[in-house]
Amino acid sequence: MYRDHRFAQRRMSDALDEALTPRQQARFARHVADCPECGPLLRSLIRLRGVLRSIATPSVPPEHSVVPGVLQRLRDEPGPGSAPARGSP
Amino acid sequence: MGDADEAPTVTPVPASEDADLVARAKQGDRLAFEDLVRRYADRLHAVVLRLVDDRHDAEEATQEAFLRAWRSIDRFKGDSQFFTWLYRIGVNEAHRLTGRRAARPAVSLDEQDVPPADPALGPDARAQHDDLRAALESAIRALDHDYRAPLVLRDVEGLSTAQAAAIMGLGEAAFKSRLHRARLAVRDAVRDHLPQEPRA
Repeated sequence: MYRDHRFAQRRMSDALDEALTPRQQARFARHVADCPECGPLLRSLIRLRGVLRSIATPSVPPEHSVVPGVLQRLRDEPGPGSAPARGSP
Repeated sequence: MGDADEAPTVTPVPASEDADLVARAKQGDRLAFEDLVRRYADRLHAVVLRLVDDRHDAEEATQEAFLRAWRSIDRFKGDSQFFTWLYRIGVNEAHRLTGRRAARPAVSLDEQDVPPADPALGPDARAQHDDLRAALESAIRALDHDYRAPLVLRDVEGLSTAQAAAIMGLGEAAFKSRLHRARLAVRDAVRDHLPQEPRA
């Protein structure tokens, strides 16, 4: 039981993201169904993710678009090869 | 249980269409790069705004990210999707700005930055929604950049784990660890505002 509990706690986010193998998922589901700590935690994380998605910025109306400002800055720039991109892979 | 990790909700345009524009931009075709700006500037701005909390800073970081991308696009190798590369530059730019302005008090997002409660909701439900939204925004702002960016990219913007990890420049295991800690921290901060679990 304790090993299953540790396993479930460690893989909680993977379960949320459906990134467990079928065997792991079965083990996880068995534990969560009975555990008074892991079951509510999983369900609260599912609800949390639902509300996080709901605050994503909707499509931007033209009057709030940043595109014109970016294009304006670009028009003053020389072409490619003039400076490094910070963080480029 | 949730969206499958293999099915990202964000695939702005087919990668092949980006590839054509990127190839032309590499040859110095400014109009091709401007099409990429039109595709991604507002979406990148939305991400950056959640990382810097200030509309002016977010616009500056977005502009700077595109300028850096334009200057160095001839060295973009195409190992990743263009928007992943661009977002990485933008997230790093946001990080740089927040570090530079850490001493300045955070400015709240404008009302227009977050969607209002569904007008079909009753007054009590609307009030609950607004409380939850305020608690969420506050909890996200309280996260360090290293935890905030994974949460914003994965759970708010809906990128896949692979895409978001690539943007952060992290391996998937390290990314997932940060994401999990961020989720737990935000869940702890807003637990009293989350919709209640239905009673059995």
